[in-house]
Amino acid sequence: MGIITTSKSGRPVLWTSLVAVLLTGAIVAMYLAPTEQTMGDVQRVMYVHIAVAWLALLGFVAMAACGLAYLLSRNLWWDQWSMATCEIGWLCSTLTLVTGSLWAHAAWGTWWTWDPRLVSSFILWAFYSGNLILRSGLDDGPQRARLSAVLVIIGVADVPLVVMATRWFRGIHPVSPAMEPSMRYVLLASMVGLTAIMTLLLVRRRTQLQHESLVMQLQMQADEN
Amino acid sequence: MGTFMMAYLAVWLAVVFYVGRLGVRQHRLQRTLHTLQERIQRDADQRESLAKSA
Repeated sequence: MGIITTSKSGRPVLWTSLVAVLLTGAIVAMYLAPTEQTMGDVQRVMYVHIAVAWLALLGFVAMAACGLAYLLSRNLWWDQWSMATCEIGWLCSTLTLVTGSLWAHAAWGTWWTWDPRLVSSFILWAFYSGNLILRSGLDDGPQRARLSAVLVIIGVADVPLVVMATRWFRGIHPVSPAMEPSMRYVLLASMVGLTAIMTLLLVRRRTQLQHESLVMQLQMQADEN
Repeated sequence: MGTFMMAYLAVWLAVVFYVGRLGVRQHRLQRTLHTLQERIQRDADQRESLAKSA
């Protein structure tokens, strides 16, 4: 019975590191990064937007890899990773659309436009949402894991479309904006910081899912006795 | 700078929301486990008393 313990001693470390990384990121992006000449301060949104977009794409690829690993091995351990990745990826995908919209409103004067990059990003978000809805509608087990894996493997085809949309189709989304080296460092720091935060949350959620599964098994054993 | 602040606030809120959700789920899990532990202990006690009386 001693399998599940709440690591209260670990909580302040988690919170402190989360707050430190987010605060440092904000300060660096606001004061250390130079102001872009044409867009001005609005360009600073990119330090957040690109970082969360990268995580949303990485999350989907990771989720598809977990789905494939599940289909090959039929081990539910992969499904737990897939579920945790889906939640974090959905959060990042939502943040990509929100921060992109904020930037678009300031730069283009509209919250949304039917640009290929925006549409393909929205499709990615829809796949994430669909997977979460599918999972919430089915009981925990092999059937849910199988259907979710198939959906995610189909959806991963959208990832190259999101990445290459600005090159393959004509649109108004910037292709790959030229940046000063100092801007690149800030962007890199922001990406590393947010990736670390999301990885931490991902690992904690996966552990929680494992515990939930163990408690469910114990409950079933107790019911049988 | 206002747009950037809004974007950063969105990320902050999302992280806080998710950590809060993790906390709620963990609390619920602990409660379920505690109930289960009590139930198993009660069943074991009952079995023991039945064995003694027999």
